[in-house]
Amino acid sequence: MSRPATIGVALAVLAFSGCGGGRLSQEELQKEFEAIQSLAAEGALVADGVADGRTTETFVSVHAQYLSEAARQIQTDVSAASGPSEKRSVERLASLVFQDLEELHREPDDRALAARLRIRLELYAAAAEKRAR
Amino acid sequence: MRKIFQIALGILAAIGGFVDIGDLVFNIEAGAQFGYQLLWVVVVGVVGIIVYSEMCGRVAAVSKRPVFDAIRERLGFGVGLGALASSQVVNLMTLAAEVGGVALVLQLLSGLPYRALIVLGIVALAVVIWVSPFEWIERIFGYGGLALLVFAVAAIKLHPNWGDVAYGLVPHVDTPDKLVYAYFAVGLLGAAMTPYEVYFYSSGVVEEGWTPKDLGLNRANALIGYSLGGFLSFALMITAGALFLPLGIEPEFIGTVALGAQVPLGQIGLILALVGILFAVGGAAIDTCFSGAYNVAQYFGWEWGKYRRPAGAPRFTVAWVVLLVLALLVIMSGIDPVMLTEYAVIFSVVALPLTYLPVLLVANDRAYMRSHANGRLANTFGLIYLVVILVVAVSAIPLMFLTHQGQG
Repeated sequence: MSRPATIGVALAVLAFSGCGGGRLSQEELQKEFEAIQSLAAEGALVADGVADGRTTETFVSVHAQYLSEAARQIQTDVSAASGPSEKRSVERLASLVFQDLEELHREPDDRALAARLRIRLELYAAAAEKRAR
Repeated sequence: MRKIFQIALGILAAIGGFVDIGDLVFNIEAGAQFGYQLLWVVVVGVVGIIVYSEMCGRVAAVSKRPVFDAIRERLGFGVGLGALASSQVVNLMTLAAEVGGVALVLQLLSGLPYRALIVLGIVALAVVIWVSPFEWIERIFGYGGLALLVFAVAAIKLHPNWGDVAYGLVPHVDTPDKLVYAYFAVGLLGAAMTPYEVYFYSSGVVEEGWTPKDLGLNRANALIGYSLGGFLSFALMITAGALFLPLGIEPEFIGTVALGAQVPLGQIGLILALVGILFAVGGAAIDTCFSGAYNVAQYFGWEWGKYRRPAGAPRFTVAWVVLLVLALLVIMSGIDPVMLTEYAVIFSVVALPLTYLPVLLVANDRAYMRSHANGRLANTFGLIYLVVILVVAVSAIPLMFLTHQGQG
């Protein structure tokens, strides 16, 4: 393959490969804030069910783990990329949401803890929503 | 009285069997993103599947020829082979997604490891297919899927704005993300009119030995069963619009669907939702698996049918076993079932014209259909839907890339 063609292919691969290791645009950061908001808000709903005794331990443990893995994935992806100053906020929020969802996954029957986690996750969701605008 | 009972049972099975993983994913995602704005697309999709299922059932009952027979004859061996290959790829993707969905729901119910549950799910499906008579497979999963009616109760308990819900039945675009809106409209239509449903339905008519005397039953099943099945789609979208949209939740997991019933109804809502999803997705996995085996057997002229024992249709039996094994390999690769569902639905949209055009042609052929050929009403609807199908088939893949699978 000729050199220009190789460069072209490399650029195309970079363009389609998302943010992994590249530079995050403002728009991509906004999407990441929206994703964190979604995970935090959903986590708050799950925690709310635990706090009120209206769900099952198995469901909470399994679903919270899926949510926490998604939050950790955002943190990992954003950490690997460069970008505007808000990048740090995304990383920080994703990390906080991940930690709380992990707690929910590990202690799916602790109603008092769930009540605290619900409040915190709601706050994170609100913070992420504000940043996403 | 017996006839009415038979019709009622068939309709109940059709309601519970209408929703599959594609309907779950697209209805919940569309509701979470656009509220009730896309309810009208569900109506369009449900009318489409009623029109073509009725046609397929009629063709099969009168001529004893299911859809893929017609495809091979009308499109010729070469083009028919293309249709077979594309339908098998879509069938396999859908089957793998359904199997992944079964494993995810089992995990949410049991807490056991996902991969072990994939294997368990495949083995359970194979055993059910092997030992159960055709009508029992259809009915067991259809009745179990009725647990999804919990979403109708959930939707009411969430107190949606019913004026907005009613306005959602009127086509309108109230969003700056017009391409994403179009992507979800295409996906919802594809999920409602997915080709495996008509392959399965028409082959089922032959399996159950329907004759022209059963055309009333065929019409009632298609009309009432699918209409009420569409009601479940409404319930899912309204639930997502009332609960997830205001909170900015973008559903990415099967568990999120169940959460839609847990929040308003508590533990009982959660369990009914999970059981309903399990039966709906498990039933769809069997339908898809059979559809794939029916297609290949009908195309190559092999003996086929569940009503024959495995020894009576060995190549058909091998075909569904191979499909299950391939689905196992695909989903064990670690691919996300929800993402795979989206690809399967969008690719199935591309294959829609190859499925529905031959059906329309055969349903009009008086040599086959005699006095049961399409009337003016069936042809008008059939032609309108063919145009709709062609438009969405051409736009599906570009929309998927332009919107990054609906992410905007």
